[in-house]
Formats: sequence, C-alpha cells, structure tokens
Amino acid sequence: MSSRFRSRRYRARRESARTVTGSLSRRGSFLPLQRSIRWGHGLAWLGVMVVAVVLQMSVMGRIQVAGVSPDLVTLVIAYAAFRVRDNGILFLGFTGGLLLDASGTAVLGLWSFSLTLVAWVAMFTREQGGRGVAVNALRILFLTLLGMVAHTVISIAFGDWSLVIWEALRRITLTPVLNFLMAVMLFPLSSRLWVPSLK
Amino acid sequence: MVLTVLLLVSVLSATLEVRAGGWGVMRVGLGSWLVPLQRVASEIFDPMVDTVEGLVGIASLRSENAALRAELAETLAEMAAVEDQLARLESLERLAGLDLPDVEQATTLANVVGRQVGFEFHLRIDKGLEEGVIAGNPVLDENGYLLGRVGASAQDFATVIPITADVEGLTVLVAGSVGILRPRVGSDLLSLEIIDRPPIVAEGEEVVTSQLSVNFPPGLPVGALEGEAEVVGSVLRGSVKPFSDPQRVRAVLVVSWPPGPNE
Repeated sequence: MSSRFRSRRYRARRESARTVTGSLSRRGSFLPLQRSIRWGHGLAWLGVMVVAVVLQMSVMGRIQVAGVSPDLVTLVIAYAAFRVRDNGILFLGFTGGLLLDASGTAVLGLWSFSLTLVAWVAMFTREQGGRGVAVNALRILFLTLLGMVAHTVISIAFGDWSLVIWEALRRITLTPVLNFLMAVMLFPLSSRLWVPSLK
Repeated sequence: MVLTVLLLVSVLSATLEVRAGGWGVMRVGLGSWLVPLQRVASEIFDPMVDTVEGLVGIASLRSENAALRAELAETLAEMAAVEDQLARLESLERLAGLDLPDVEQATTLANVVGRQVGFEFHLRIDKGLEEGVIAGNPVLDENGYLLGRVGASAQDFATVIPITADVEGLTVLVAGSVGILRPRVGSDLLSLEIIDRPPIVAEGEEVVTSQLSVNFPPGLPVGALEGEAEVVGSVLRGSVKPFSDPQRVRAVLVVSWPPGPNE
C-alpha cells in the first residue's frame, strides 16, 4: 500500500466522517460529537482483551526474543482505541490490566494502573493510527514504552521489584521494539480497524 | 474523571494488597477463571509455537548436529584404537602361548609400532638391544610363521625385514628336498628353486625352514607352494606364498638365533 494511496484513503474516510457530523449539526441537534456507547462493541473488545490476556500468559511467553516477549495487551488497547470511545477504552485498559494482575503473582493493581494510563494516551493518539504504517508503529512503540515505564515505576513504588537494572532496561527497551515490529506486520488489520475521530 | 477513578482504584488495590493482603480471594477467583482458557490456548497454540521454534532452531540444530558428528567420529576413533589394542593383546597372548618346533631359545615379545613403506619395506618393533634383540634374529608372527629377520637393532627398538623384502635368500625344505627361497621385486610371492634332486610337488605344498639354514631355526613354516612348479633341466622352479602378512601383523616374536655357546 503506497503512502499516496494511504493519504487519499485517509482523507476520504475523514471527509465521510465530517459529512455525518455535519448533517447532525444541520439538524440542529447539539448532540456531543462523541458517539453513544455501543455495548456490543465494548463487549466484543472485552472478549478480545480476555483472549489477549490468555494468549499473553500462555503462548506469548514462549515467543521470546532475547528473553523478552511482545506485549499483546498493549497492542489490543491501541487498536481498540480506534473503535471504542473514551470511557470505554479506559475501562478496557483497566480490565486488561486487572486480568494480567490477577493471573500473575505480582501486586494487584500495578498492571491495571499502567494499562489505564496507556489506554488514556491511546485515546489521544488514535488519530495517528491511520496515518500510515510508520506512524502507527511508532504510536504502538510509544504506548508500549509508556506502559513498561509506568509499570516499572509503580512496581518500584510498591516494592514489588525483583529485577536487576540491566534486566529491567532490556525489557523496557526490547518490548516496545517487538511491539513496533508486530505493529508493522499487523498494519493491514489496524488500518481496517481505524476510523477517523469524530471530534 | 473516569481516568482518575480508575487510577485511584488501581493504586488503592495495590496498597490494600501490600498493606492488608486481603485481595487473595479476588486473585484466586479471576485466576481460576483464566486457567481453563490458558489451557485451551496452550493446547491450540503450543504445536504451532513448537513448529516455529523448530524452524527457527534449524541453524542451532545444524551446529549441534555437526558437533555431535565430530563427537561421534572421535568416539569411533577411540573405539577403533581400543579394538586395535584388543587385537594386539590377542596377538601377544597367542605369541606367548606359541609352541614353536625345535626352538628352545629365548624369545622376546614385541609390538609392531611402525611400518616403513617405500623402497625398503620394514617394520619397527618396540624392543631392542636392551631386551636382547639383535640384528639377524628370526622374527615370527603371532601364528608362529616366519615373518623375517631383525635388520638393525637400537637400544629400545629394532627394525624387521620381512622375507618378502629381504635381499638375502632363505634355505628351505620342500617335500624332503632343500631349496632356496628368494624375494621377488614388487611381488608378495617368493621364488623357489630346488636344484638337487627336484621332488614331485603339488600346489599347496608346505615350505619350512631347512636344517641347513644358518640364519633361521629349522622347521619354521614359511609358506605354501602356489601354482604349478615347473622343472627346467634339473632345476625345479615355483612360487611360494608366505603364510605371514607383514602388513597386518601387530605383534611379533623375536627368537634369539643362532644360539649362544651355552644354549
């Protein structure tokens, strides 16, 4: 997919979204630009999140590069931000983190804290998800880095820290890189999920 | 607002877990709910991951295979060396129990430690002057067949000249007649000549050392007549194939011959 084609597609979809909001405005309805909560979407993404957590705890642990696995849950949050709206994505991130916390042995609430933050930033950067493979992959890299740093900081704060510094640095640097590569591979999927913001 | 609440809930739950440790029920509940799903996921995806890991690990498998091959070759070489030692031991045992005809002299067991292949073929044995091995001593193989003689002897080793590579002839006895056995250049066979009263011989007739021989004790088996012998005038000519094989011999018996004045 060429960048020219991507930008044309991006503009077309954005114009389409503006037409919808414009018609709503012309009707004089001062509805918020944010879509109403779609429970079906939310539940579907919750199911995807459960699957992602299960895979993260079972399969992804075996797919290791230099002792580090990709972070599938962050990828799901980043992609879910394309379809699930503001509060929904926050709840989704929180739930994913809670499930991760519960399925591990670490202190409950550490992953939910960091992934809620990731979801919040993913919500703000959802627009960049459709701007091409490089921007989308960099967005994933940034979100993963944020999640890893946040989790590291709060783990240290709560005394739940057993890694040596080099091991921690390796995880913090390698996991975003792996997610970056996965985002490049999954770009065809994410470009289909992406919709322009209604704001 | 929602963000703040969720973050606070996260921090609160972490604080409560660290301080009070009262969230075990929730963890157990959520964890037990996820375990069957994890098991299903493992059953589905583990074979795939195994396949991928196998493909990724081909390079390491190749190097491991090469290392194992090298190790196997080394082990086979060690086994061959052990087998060689066992064969040598067997030869020495047979030599030690050898009952030689008409040989009452002292004998010395020796290992063949080298072979000189070239214009002057000879064997090197690990016994020399220190063991009483001197130049000219007859050398027998593990079956008691005549192999050759000691060509030269040093302090701790000696060289053995096989009868097929010797420049000197050998006085032998064939069917009651005395003849001379000479090596043939470039051949494993020996030439036999019987000048005095040629006997009637057939193929396979045994050839032994003669009592007239100065260098070798009498009665030592040397070889067998090969092919038909022909009589030219009053001379019988034939070919003799030696019993001993200097290429395969591992241990030899050196006989102190001729005997000293006290023997």
